[in-house]
Amino acid sequence: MRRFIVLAGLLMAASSVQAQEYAPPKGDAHNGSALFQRFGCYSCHGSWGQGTGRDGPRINPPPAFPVVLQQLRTPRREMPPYVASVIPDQGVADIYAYLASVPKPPDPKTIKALQ
Amino acid sequence: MSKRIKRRQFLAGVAAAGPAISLISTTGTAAAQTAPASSIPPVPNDERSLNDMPPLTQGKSGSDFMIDVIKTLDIDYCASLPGSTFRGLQESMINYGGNRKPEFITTLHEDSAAAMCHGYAKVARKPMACMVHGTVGLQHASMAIYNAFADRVPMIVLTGNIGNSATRQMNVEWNHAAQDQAVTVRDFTKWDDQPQSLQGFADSMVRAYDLATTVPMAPVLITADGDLQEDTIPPGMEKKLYIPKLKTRGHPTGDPALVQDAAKLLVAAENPVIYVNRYSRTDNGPALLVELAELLQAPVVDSHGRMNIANRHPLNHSPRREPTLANADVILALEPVDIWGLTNYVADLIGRPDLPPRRNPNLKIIHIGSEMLLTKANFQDSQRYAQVDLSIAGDAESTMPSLIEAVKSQITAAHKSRFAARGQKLREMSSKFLDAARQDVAYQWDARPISTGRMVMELWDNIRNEDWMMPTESQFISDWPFRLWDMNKPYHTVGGSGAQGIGYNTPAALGAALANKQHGRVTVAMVGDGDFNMAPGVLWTATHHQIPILYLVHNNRAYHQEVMMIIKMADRRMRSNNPNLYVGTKIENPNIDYAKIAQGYGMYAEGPISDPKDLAAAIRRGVDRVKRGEPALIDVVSDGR
Repeated sequence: MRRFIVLAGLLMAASSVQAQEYAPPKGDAHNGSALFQRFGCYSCHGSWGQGTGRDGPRINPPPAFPVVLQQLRTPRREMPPYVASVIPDQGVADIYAYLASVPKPPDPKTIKALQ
Repeated sequence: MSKRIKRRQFLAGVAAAGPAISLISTTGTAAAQTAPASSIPPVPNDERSLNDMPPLTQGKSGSDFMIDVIKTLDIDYCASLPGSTFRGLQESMINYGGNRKPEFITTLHEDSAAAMCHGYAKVARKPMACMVHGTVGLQHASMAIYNAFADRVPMIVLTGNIGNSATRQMNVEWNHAAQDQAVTVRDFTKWDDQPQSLQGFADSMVRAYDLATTVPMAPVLITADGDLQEDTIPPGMEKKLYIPKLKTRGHPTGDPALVQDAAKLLVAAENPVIYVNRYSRTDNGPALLVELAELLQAPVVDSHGRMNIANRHPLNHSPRREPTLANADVILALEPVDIWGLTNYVADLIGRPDLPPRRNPNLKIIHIGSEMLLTKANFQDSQRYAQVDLSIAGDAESTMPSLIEAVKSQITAAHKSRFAARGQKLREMSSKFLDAARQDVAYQWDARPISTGRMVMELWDNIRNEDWMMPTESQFISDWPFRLWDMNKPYHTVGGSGAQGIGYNTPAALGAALANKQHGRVTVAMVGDGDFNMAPGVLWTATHHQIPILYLVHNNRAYHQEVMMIIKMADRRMRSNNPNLYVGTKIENPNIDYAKIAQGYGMYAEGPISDPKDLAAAIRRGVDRVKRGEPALIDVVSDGR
């Protein structure tokens, strides 16, 4: 699973130049939040996409939309595939909008329990 | 025991008061007594008695002697709940033995009793006992015994059996008797016996303890025959009874010649890596491991089967597990449990392909461990067989001193210079681990449901200045404690269940807390709701016996591992858009109120806590209770992982 995380990162980095050419489609973050739960994305990536270590990498903030779409449709390593008949592209756009809406993390230096 | 023998005992009892009195032990705190004289005129026996046996036990009972035997073995506690197959032994433990060494710890389920033994032994470094009812109690206890077996942890399991079918009472005693009680657990115990005499009990009990506590350690089972427990010791027999003295036994260590070969490989290696899993067995284990790692300036990768090495030691490169193993030209695997998995990976994909991770093509693996010294055929906890370059059978920790000496003897000045450069690079890398983990946890700090990272770190903030111990597994909470806490004492954690039988953490943590009690440590247990629901009755045990422990229920309202699995199955089959996808995996509708459950068992509890801002104060109040010697529970509504 850890190798998946590394490979997913490499994939995202390699695709970043190409991805910059695509603007994220308009999505409904509220619906995306519901889909993120319903389809179980949260189970491996955490409810805020924060990642869960060995089970799924952090996807908050999300990489470029085409990278997310590619990983969903033809995933590398052990992530299960999500075909368009299960989550249409618009649903993916909604999930993407949700992940983009998650608040930015606080500076760890400002958190007492982390000192 | 036959009726003929019982009648002989009766005759001895009524005809020879002298010998009966002489059987009274001086070892028990409440020795058997003869009946006091009564002022009521005697009624002829044939008008009152249903048989020809006396109504009172004439002298010392067999189970009194059994307690004499058990008391020689330094067993502090016996977790149990009553069962008629061992009623003689239970009565002797409490009255004859004074309910001390062992003290009867009342549980509400045999599985909890056995799991408490599991957690206790890993902290106390010695076994405790559990006493379970014949047949049905043993069946209840079996999963926890299997967990302990797979984790190679000692436990003394006692059960009873009404072996003589001619004196067995109808119905219940027949249902709870067996020709061979131990067969239920024989596949996952190291040894068992059903002795047919008191001398046999003494021999077998001491042998069982000896075997259980010699590496490879594992549970053992002794079945105490019902008649042997309940009958009077026949006249003249007690003087002949003998309890073998248990001597400290050394553990098997590696072949010295092979240890020299291992040292040669390690010293010559460019990038040696030490991999540990169930390595550390005593308080000295981590120190020996650090000595070897620092001698070689080699990174350590820890799978946390025991408290092997401080998580912040600069040579602990567990956060870089894969790159570290990929770079190795020699891996020294100490009690690795799964050697095959060091160089292979069965992916959870259709067809379950082996996708070997990247490894040095010239990699050599040295294995030192006791795994092969105890294997059973049926249950497959032995893991897949793997070829290695040098295999040394023996207890890794016991072998460590000779390996360290062998390495020292082969290191030259040139080696030291090379090793120092290697160590410097490793230190530079590990200096960034903690900050990276802090960044990661910040991403989930304000998330709702409460993130596991937030839960773990709010707990840490409340115990970091205490003498604490965490006995529970952490893979379901994203291993946050190993990434962010400062774990540096040999008892700070103890590894996991061994066989992943759910329902381990909640009772095993209480066993650990029982061992921690005399040290005044704050025991903190983070248990999943699925795990908790397997053994909620331990909360009553904690309250009844005033065992200080703080439970945090990681309440993700699901069997979360199985949530991920069912999603995977549905996705593969393109059926995950079914709104009923989570049938069978979610624990909701209604949501369970764990604080109320705990309060019902008499325990201080708070929750459900849903707002992350409320968590720190709730935990602080819970820790305060534990510091006062009480158990407490906080129900945390949390994210999946």
